[in-house]
Amino acid sequence: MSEPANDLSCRELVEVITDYFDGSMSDAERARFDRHLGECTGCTRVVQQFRETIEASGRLSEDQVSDEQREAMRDVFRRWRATTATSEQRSSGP
Amino acid sequence: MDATSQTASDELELVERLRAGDEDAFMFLVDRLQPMMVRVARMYVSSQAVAEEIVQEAWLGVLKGIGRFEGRSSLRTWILRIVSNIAKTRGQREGRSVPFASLAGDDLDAPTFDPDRFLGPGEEWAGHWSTVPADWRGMPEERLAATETLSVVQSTIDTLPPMQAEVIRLRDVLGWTSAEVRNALDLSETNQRVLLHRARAKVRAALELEFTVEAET
Ligand SMILES: [Zn+2]
Repeated sequence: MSEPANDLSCRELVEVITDYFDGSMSDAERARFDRHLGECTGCTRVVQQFRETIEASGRLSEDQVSDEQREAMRDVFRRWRATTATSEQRSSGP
Repeated sequence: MDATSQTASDELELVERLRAGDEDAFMFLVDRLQPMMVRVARMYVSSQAVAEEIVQEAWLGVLKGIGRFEGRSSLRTWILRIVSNIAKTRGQREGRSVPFASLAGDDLDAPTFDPDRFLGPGEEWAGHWSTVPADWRGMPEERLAATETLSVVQSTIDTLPPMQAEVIRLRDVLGWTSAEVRNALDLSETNQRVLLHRARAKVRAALELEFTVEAET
């Protein structure tokens, strides 16, 4: 780190890392962010830490449905299908 | 990764099968969406039992409404939105209107990093790191995938305010796009991003602590 690169401080940069990742910055903001990274070891490391954090979250798995709930939803489906089948019969009847 | 994202043509096929009353297609969706549907419903109502009831109602709404689904949002987004709409209405009827702050956390305006990590005003390098953060790339590759690491991530997410937790689950655990999450949870673009950033920052901080403690022992 040589000298304060520009008007974006490290304290400010860490608050906009998700904006940076999501591409929701203007070109000027992105350029300012990149310029800061180019000259700041601390921020480069923290941006990398965020990437690793996102990757770690991506290794988690979503909860599983319990068998009980799963079968309850199947019942909901079958009851619904039974009622639509009868109403179709009724409406297509003579 | 969540298999309901797949491709537009897979999704279209799923919608067609659902319209035709295909039970396997329905159960495919139940397996993938039921847990998050219950969590989202639970944000707005007083008990797990009521949340499960709402999800049941939401599935009926999905079955009845699938004929009108136009594909302007993804199917999973559309389904989650049905859940949250029913849950909100039910919550209001319970006399339990949940303020946004209690779901989102009351710390949205606070800095995500401890101010002590930066040099204070008056210092020549004000706003810059007082101590340079650690380089995680120096760690063995397996560290980040280790069971203990993942359980730190999981337990941190589980203790976040509910909306922060759900945003990071949908975005980072399940890989939904920001547009899908905004739609599903009825969030503005800014709120979605702020919630996600806070959630990530807290998980990062928990990992940093975990790695520091480990390095010292
Ligand atoms: Zn910096």
